[in-house]
Amino acid sequence: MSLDQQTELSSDAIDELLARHETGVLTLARSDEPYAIPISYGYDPESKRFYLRLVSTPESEKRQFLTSSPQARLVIYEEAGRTYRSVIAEGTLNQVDPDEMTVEHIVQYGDAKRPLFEIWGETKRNLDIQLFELDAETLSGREVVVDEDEE
Amino acid sequence: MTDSQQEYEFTCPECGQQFEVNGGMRDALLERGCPVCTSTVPNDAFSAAMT
Repeated sequence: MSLDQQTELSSDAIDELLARHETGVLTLARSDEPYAIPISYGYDPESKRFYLRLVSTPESEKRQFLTSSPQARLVIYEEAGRTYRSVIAEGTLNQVDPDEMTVEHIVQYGDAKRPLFEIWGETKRNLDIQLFELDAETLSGREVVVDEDEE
Repeated sequence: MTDSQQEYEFTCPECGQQFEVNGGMRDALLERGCPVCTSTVPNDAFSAAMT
């Protein structure tokens, strides 16, 4: 397989890709220990801000990586025929206090409907659901088109 | 539409999350659902806020 063409995505193309999707992979790290999880998101192209909903338990591995506003990367990707696109957002993850909720928060989290809580086998009242914002300090996108004749 | 200045206490019937909202936030919750657990929000999830 050869790479026919690789290009950087424009800011508009990045926003369009992020609007087409609602799930991605969030990566955190602690020392040299990585942690990656699938998440759902809402995205505001004006502020380059992602709205994330994370479910954890007090003992969970996830909770250990979510202390004190960690640096995080969010990866969203898609495949269409021979075209592969990906966007990487990098920034600080900050927890949203429900007492500081705004109309914008309600609208954006309304766009981040997944994950399906049924997979947790608990009622919603028994789950610890936390809301986070990721302000993208860097946001980059790439498109790769694979040559048709070579595999 | 609701009075945007009116304060309400929102309690999600599904996840139990509580916080104070104004009229604009109440409208958004009724339309978009609970931001914490995604459940549909009914009209009776709001009570007059204590002042």
